[in-house]
Amino acid sequence: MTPLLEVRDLRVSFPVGEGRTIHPVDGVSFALERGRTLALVGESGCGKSLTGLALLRLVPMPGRVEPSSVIRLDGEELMTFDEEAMRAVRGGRIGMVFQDPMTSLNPVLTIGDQIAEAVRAHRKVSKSEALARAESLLAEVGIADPARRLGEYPHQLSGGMRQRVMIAIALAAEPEILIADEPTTALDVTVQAQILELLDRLRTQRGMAVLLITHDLGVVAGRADDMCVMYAGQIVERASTRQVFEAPAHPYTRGLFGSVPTITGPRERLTPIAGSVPPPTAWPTGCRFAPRCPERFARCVTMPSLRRAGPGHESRCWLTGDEP
Amino acid sequence: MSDRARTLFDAVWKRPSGRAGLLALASLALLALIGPFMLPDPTMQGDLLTQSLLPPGAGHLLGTDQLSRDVLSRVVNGLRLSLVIGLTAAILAVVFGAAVGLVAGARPGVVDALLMRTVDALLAIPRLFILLLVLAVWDRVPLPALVLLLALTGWYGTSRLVRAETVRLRHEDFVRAAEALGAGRLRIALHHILPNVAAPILVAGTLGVGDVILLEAGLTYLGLGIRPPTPSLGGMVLDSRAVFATAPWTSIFPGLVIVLTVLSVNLVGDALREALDPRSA
Repeated sequence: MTPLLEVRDLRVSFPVGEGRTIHPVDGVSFALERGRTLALVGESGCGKSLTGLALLRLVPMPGRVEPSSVIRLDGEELMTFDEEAMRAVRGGRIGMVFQDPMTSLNPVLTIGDQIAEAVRAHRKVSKSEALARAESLLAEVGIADPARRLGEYPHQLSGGMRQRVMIAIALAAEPEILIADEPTTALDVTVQAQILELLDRLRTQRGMAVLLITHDLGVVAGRADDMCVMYAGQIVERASTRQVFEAPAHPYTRGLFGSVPTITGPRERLTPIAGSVPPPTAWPTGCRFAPRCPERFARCVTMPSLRRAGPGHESRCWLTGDEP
Repeated sequence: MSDRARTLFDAVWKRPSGRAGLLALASLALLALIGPFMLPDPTMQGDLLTQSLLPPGAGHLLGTDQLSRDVLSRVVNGLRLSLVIGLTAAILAVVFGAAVGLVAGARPGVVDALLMRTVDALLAIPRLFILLLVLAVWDRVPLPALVLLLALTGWYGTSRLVRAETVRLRHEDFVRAAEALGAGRLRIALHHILPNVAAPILVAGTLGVGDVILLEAGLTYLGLGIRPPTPSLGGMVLDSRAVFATAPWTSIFPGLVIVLTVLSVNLVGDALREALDPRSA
């Protein structure tokens, strides 16, 4: 069976002057199956958010998705779509929830207006039908008294409620895929769990696929079926979430786990990863993690490809697997 | 939208200058609206020998002019015309300016550069100079044409304002969110950006009304705007030049009404600007 969304060798380029270009997303491949959640994990600047935007071909100017990239939605090649056809995909087949619900809603339009607009963007219905649909969507995302909320403005809602509204907007046209870009980062911890719960519930109820973009391993645990760890524009480790949590194969992934305090188990010093993510202009030619890697050796001056670490488990490290 | 209008009104009303402006403007508008129905025909002439240049008194509250016409009636009718011209010209100017600004802001590159350089060039020519030039050539300009001329020379500032706001808003998260939901360029401009620039447009429009009224009065005073016998405030001041020393009421009252109207419009405009500017809150 073909996956719902298949991404192969996705590459985003930005001109940086003097005829040079950088590739903040550099050959990313993954597949998203119906009804499953795939997490894209990485530090800020690793290219995970840009990957999400690139799937909708919404890379900010002057950047662009390289034509050699393959983005296949249910067998259809999105790279060949014209702008008109892409607009139908955006929101219609792939919905998106952004990080900051404080700024992602238009401050001068009512909640009802904004949801109804999303409904009518992809469906020929009357204004009143769209508003009725907006009301049921608000109820679906767990907002009490939805009829009253329709007439309110974003500033009258709390952060958690706004994110629920954003989710309602993203769901308005019943997309097959929901891209959630750091959906809980701007929210209080208590609200975070509720929003993740909601996303999980909606995925099950609607049979949607969810692409969860996050830097937070705690968000991934127990929610995502599979995960891809990104570093410097590339996927460095890919496996089921359980496999990665049980036996992280890539030194970077291990470094991420070492940076997170645990509540259970003996008290240990955190072992943060030294240094920080280099900008795309300063990526080394070999393994991009090598300069920060505690396990680097001579071979790291050449770039490893994804190597087999186990069944369905790959890692971009020369120390992974038995092959030479 | 009605909520916003309500809050905005309250914010203007809260300021003493805004309240004074609103009250004065409301009284003037009321006067202009119902006055003409209760007063004699402003073009009606009485007996020239006994009825001309009467000082303010019981029969004619503000006196009569040298053609024995009722000054109060002429002032009220002139005010009505001034308000109509000021409002229509300012609205037209704002609509045109907002349209140009939205297009320029939404289409960076050639379109933006072309439109904004044109505006720069137009801004370099004084408004009064263009108006004087056209009106000097175009004798007896009809009223709609005069309004259009005033509007077409008054939109440059608004277009730059709206363009700047549009450029800023284009990078806001909610615009990107709308794009990600499949909204097209036109939809984003009209539905998402325009309501967010409503505030500066409103301020520019309000202050524009005062400008237009003053300009129209000035042009008419120079004999280039509204022609007699249509009563106009500028025209009345012009007509009274010869008798100003002996019958000052013929020009003082229309002059006062011009000042009061422009002042109250500007007070409201300033209060609006203060109410809408987050930095002054």
